Amino acid sequence: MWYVVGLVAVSVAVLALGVWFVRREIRDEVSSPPVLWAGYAVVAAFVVFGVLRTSWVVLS
Amino acid sequence: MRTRADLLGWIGLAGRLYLGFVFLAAGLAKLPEPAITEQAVRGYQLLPWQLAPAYAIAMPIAEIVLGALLILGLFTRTAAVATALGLCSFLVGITSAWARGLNIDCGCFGGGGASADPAYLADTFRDLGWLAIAVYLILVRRTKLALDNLLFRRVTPSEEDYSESSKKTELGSSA
Repeated sequence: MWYVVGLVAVSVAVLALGVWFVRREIRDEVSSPPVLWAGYAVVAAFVVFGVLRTSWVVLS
Repeated sequence: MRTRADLLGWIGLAGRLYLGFVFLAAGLAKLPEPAITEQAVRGYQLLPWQLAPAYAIAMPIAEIVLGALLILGLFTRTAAVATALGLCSFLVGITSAWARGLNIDCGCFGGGGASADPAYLADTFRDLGWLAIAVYLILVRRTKLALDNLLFRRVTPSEEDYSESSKKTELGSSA
């Protein structure tokens, strides 16, 4: 149970850091916002799927 | 003249080469033995049973491609993001196996499956170290001796200023 709580907490922190990173890249005009947000969406989907799958396996 | 950006770039080159060769070695070690890699993947009991054979083939190929991209410095930041995600998945695999009380070898460089003496703590800290390098490569925008620098050269403000002033000079001289 505590493992899942920790995993979710770390994942939320990672996703929040990802938002900060994307906004920094947009502010500095490193790449176009749609490309950066699309990349973030792919990464976030991977993270969310990984957390859900791992939580399911650990708790079952 | 050495600047802070130069120093960060050289550190990035060292990180790129180190992480690149680690991933290349891991992929090359697993690629010729898909059956053993499949056994290692099944040992984690995380993926659906039917996905293990495809994952056992796709993972070494992905590791080799990412390793090559990092060594060459091609699409470095994208490769670093993919590498970081891969390392996060390995970390979740190792720590969840530890939390569930499984006794398996990580199979990171071939082998894998049941083990009487798993090294979860060492594997976790090793992967965290590699993850730190990948995160550094994501955050630092340019590394030295990278193909990115040749293929995707950005126009810096100083170059723009130079071209503007040179245009003025040309106009001035022609007038």
